[in-house]
Amino acid sequence: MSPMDTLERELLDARADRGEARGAPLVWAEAQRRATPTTGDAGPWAWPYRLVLVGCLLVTAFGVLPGTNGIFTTRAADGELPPAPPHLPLVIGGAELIEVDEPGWTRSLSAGLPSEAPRTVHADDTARPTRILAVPQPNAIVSRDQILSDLASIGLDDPESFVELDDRGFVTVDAPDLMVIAEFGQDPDTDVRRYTFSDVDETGARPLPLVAHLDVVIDDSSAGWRTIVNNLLLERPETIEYVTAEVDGRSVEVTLLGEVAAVWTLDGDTFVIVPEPTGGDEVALTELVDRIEVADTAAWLAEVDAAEPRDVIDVFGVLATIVLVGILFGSERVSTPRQLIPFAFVVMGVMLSGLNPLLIEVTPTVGRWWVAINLAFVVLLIGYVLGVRRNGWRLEWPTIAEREARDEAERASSS
Amino acid sequence: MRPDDPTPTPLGPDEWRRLYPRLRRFAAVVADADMEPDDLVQDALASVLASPADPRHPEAYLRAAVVRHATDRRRRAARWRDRLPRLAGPTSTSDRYPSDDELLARMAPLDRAVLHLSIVEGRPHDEIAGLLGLTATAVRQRAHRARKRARIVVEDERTNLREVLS
Repeated sequence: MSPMDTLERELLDARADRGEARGAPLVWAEAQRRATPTTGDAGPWAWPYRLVLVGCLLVTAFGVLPGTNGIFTTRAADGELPPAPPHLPLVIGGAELIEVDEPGWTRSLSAGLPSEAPRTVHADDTARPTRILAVPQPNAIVSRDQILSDLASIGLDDPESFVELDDRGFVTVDAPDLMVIAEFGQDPDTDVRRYTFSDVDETGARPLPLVAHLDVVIDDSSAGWRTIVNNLLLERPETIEYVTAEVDGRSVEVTLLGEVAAVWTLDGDTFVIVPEPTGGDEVALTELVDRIEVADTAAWLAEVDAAEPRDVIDVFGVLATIVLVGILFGSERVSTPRQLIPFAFVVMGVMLSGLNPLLIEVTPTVGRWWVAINLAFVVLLIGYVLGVRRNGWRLEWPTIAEREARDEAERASSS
Repeated sequence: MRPDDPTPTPLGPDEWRRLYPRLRRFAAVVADADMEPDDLVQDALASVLASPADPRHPEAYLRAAVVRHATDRRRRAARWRDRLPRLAGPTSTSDRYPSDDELLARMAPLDRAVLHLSIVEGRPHDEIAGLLGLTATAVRQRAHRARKRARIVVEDERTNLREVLS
């Protein structure tokens, strides 16, 4: 060994002896704990991690489940409509229950149909369930007690319990003034399928549509209305849900609910409910829209259109839920804070998904950009899943050195 | 133990106790001044324990893992220093040792590993190649360049010392 080598050796020796060694047992124990954090002993970060994931799942669920009316609602529930234009003059009064003695139709519960109420009722050809309808009547308010009394008069036990059957999220049992639509099965005495009602606010304006999922035909022989409704349904059933129009000299309000439409006159005395498109005279939608009395129809329709990307959000929400559930089941392996870092963007993505509907409601333009950001997160999620898969379904991001070492070990074992 | 030894050695607590002092010294040389040698050793051991299959030669595997962890940490530290020059502050978090001079600090972890194995442990080049996953030629070249660089630095220091003394 040359003198120079001796110098270098001293240098290296001194460096090799630096610091205080922890000792073999301590290093062994710590390395073993890090390498096997799951066997019966979840890491210290497992529970915080699980809590975060459960929170994400809840947020996602609120965003995904139809019919949830919270901040994170992603799409309107079936039958739930955008807010009506504010100047609608419709005043909903009380309710009268219609008596129809023909087979397959509902029975009347209270006498005295209003003079302007539908006089002609066409029986449904199909074997649809019968219904009891609450008919709006001008300047009359029906109380909740009256409704319950009416229901009790047809022999329904504990009618108050039917209030709970409402499935549209605006149950207000204690509200004194309500509009009611009760839906019954084949046997109106026992088979109550749906009991829907809505508040009537102080001004008498109806805050929410009253009719949902009605597929009976009650017609006052105004064929023109049906044509209009049919055309509406045929043209844009997915976007137009609620319009008012001047038709045949009468102001009507048309509510489209999937394949069902309800047309109400604005003076509240007559209405027609059409089950599904049946053809008839052609009245173009454009022509109808031209006659729409709503002041800012275009803006309102744009608002409805803006809600369409919610479908995308639903897809993202479902995807995020699946991924989160999968990760939750794998959370046993989480033992260090570093392993939580990759989930940060997953959490962020879910939260963005939850905020999407809110933003769309407020500003459709921003909302659409938000949807684009969400789509980017979908890509990240897919990349993340692929990364986890490549990592042998382990949750942490290995360092380059760890990955190389692991690959080397696998190569050695296979050879 | 030579890496081409055909007899596999299982890594258990006893074997670990035997390997630890050597590995720790090795890690102390390979590590930068601001790295704890035991951290590197521990990371390397965790890699072995977490790997799906037992390596045939734990010592060789651990040495290679120590070098890679050191390289990786050094790379990460450099990235942070580049990104956050104001926040980075002094790069070393531990005391500097008298022997921890510029020579070793300037060398890459792999070069330091080669020097240590060849000069301190006196291993032949082909054995070092097996331990570090390099070819014998690469080890020879690295050792040659590292020595050359070391000598330049040592000569410079001697010259400086002479100038100061005179």
